[in-house]
Amino acid sequence: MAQSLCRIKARIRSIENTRKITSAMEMVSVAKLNRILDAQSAAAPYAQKLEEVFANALGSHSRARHPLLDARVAVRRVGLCVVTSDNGLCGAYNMTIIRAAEDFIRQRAATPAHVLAVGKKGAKYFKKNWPAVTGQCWSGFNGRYAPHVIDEISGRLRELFLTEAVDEMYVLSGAFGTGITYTTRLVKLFPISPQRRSPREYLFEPDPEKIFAKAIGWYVQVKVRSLILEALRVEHSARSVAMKTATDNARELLVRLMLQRNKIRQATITQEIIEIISSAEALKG
Amino acid sequence: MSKPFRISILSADKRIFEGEIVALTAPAAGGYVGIWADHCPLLALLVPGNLTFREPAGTLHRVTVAGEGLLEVRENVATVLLHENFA
Repeated sequence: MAQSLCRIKARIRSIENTRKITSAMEMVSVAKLNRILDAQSAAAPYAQKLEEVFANALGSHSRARHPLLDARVAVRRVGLCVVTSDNGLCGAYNMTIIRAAEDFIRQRAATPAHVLAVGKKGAKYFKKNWPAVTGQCWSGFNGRYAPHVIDEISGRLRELFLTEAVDEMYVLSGAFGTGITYTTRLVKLFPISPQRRSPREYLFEPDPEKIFAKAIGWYVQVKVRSLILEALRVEHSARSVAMKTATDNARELLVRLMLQRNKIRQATITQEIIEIISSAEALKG
Repeated sequence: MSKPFRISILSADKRIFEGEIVALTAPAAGGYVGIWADHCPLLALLVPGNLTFREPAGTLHRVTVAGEGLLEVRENVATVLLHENFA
């Protein structure tokens, strides 16, 4: 009995440590989530306005041509940028995205895919399981928002489309569903198909082509940034939920183990008392 | 007194200014442009320079455009998007 008490005490200690770690990780991911939310709300007005201005300008200048706007007649190869996280311990987050990416690749078996992975988890998985279709990979975000790296990624995606290495480019990432649930979202990045607002005669200064060339570049950067920000937000929220569940489970287990420990301890005490009483009785007798 | 119109100046990561103004001067690619209320729709590329605008109370503001940007004017709303923080 003494041995099992020792074992239970050791388990309680170890689970207590695990609980401390998971609850610390939960707090860390909540803090990171808040940072991402701040970055997102700071970037939102600009992104929204840019999209609006872009739609207005396209509506006004309907003859606007740009290689990024042209849909290609024959789609021979599709690009897929899969956004996953660098770190694990975020529940089914990475697997959900990877499964969706695999579905996408299988569904379009006729047009070979070219996968670009953002995030260590996705990069590792695709390099191992889909080596033939996997191209460049980026990692090292560690859940932080790094605009420069994101711009490098969007530059590369653009280059792949412009050099006709791919004829369509999609981004697959996590997005919020209702409440705290998340899903995957597939966004067609290239060719760009923005809304065209009702035509309005604009004065262009200097000329529409120059403005479009600039605005389209910025539009792409902003779009990729907001997609990755959203993905980071989902990642942190998934991780904080996973860690909260782990902490709750550890707590539940601790309550059960403590009850067991107390029962054993009480049983030992009762046993000892019985022994003392019975030996006292024996001495008296 | 001149008629006021709205302006919002945004950069990639913050709102720089938002409010009513009466006059705006912006460094467009072809030279400085002056905007008053009821300006016709305009879309201009901004180049490095100084963006100045006056509030109805007369306060003069100046924002330095370090990189490039876009200026859109329509229906008495001016939107300035500064791309300067984008490397």
